[in-house]
Amino acid sequence: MKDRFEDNSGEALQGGSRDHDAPESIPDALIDAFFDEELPREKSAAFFAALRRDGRAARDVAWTQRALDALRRPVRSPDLTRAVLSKVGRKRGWVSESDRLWIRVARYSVAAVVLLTVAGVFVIERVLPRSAIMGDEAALTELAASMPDDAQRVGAAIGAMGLVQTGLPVQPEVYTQVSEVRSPFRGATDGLWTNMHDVRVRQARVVPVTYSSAQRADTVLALPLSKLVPGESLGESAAIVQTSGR
Amino acid sequence: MTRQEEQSLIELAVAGDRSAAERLIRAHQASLYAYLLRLSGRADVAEDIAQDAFVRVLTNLERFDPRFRFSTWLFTIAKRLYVNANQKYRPVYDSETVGSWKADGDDQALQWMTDDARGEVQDAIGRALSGLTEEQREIIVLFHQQEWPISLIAEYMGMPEGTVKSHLHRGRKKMRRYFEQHTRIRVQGSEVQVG
Repeated sequence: MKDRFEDNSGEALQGGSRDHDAPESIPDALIDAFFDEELPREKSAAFFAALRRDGRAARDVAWTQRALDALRRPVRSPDLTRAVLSKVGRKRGWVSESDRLWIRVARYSVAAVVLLTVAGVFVIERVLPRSAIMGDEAALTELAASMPDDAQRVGAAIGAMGLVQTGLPVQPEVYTQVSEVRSPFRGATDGLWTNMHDVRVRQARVVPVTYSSAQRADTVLALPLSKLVPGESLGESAAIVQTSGR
Repeated sequence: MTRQEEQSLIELAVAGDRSAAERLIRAHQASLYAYLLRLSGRADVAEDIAQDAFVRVLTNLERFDPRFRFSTWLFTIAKRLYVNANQKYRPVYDSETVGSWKADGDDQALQWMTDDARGEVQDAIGRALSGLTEEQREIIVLFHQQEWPISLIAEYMGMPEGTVKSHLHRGRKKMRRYFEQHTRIRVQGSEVQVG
């Protein structure tokens, strides 16, 4: 408690005025500093010596001290634990030690599985770059929103060999993979064919693909292979197909 | 209990540990009850609000910010509950009662003694506190009973430290005057009895 305050009693010790301007009287500010526990230890002796000379101040200090002692007297408190724990237990429930242990184990297990999965995917992706796990995937939402006029315009701009409209509904949550897609173009047997938005080209290698109705879009855009640059994104292009194979 | 120990108890209680919650209650119930008792002047109100405050705190323990003191949080919630309930539970010492000893008349003070003898009023400190303003009473209790530093009281009450001190000094003087007068009357009462 002694270090609760900074020393600001210096001014009080220097002077000040009490209610009763008797000679040698102790200023109220000094008494306040004493009860505020701001009276430095080295000034305590002088304070008590002054109290012996100032009967009224001594009486004030004594009465104040008496009041504060009464205030600090311990209060007999009822035990609230049972009632509180019972009410809290009804609201949120308590978990036994063994159950908490199981919960902890379960949490660590889930965390470990997640970490291992991420690490495994990372390793597979490194070893087999075009694997299905982390193949080029993109949501169809934006593609669906921009079709069909945008597709016509972009297709013309990039010299696409044609557009295919399937008319099948687009599911926003459906993702398409660049694999096993059969080209819908007559005569185009080899090609990379997808309805993805924002396809990242990992390598300029065309793989045989087949079109799958499960991987559908309302509008599919063809992009010449010459446009494929490893490491680049195809932006809004929705489909890649090999044109040289025709 | 150190803050670190308290923090680990809180974490355990959040995880559903009943015994940790129990230790938290045991660590703070006496001080919270004493604070509310001195604030309200009524044991039943103090008990109800203390209980309610603990229930609220323990059911929302996840929201506790460890940068702050648990006791400050608990007292803040208790104070809010007290203020809300204040309309419902009128303090024992209403303005008329307070005015009776503020009048500095022996008759009124003697009336207190009569009440005291009947056991219808609380102890002297309770009566002395009842003569203070809400702010003075709370600050006196927090500083002298709960031993909170001025800086914390200022933060808790949302007022400058100088204002806190001003309330503290005035409140202490009022209490002193009440104790002086009250005890003098008791002596006179004894003299009358002896005579």
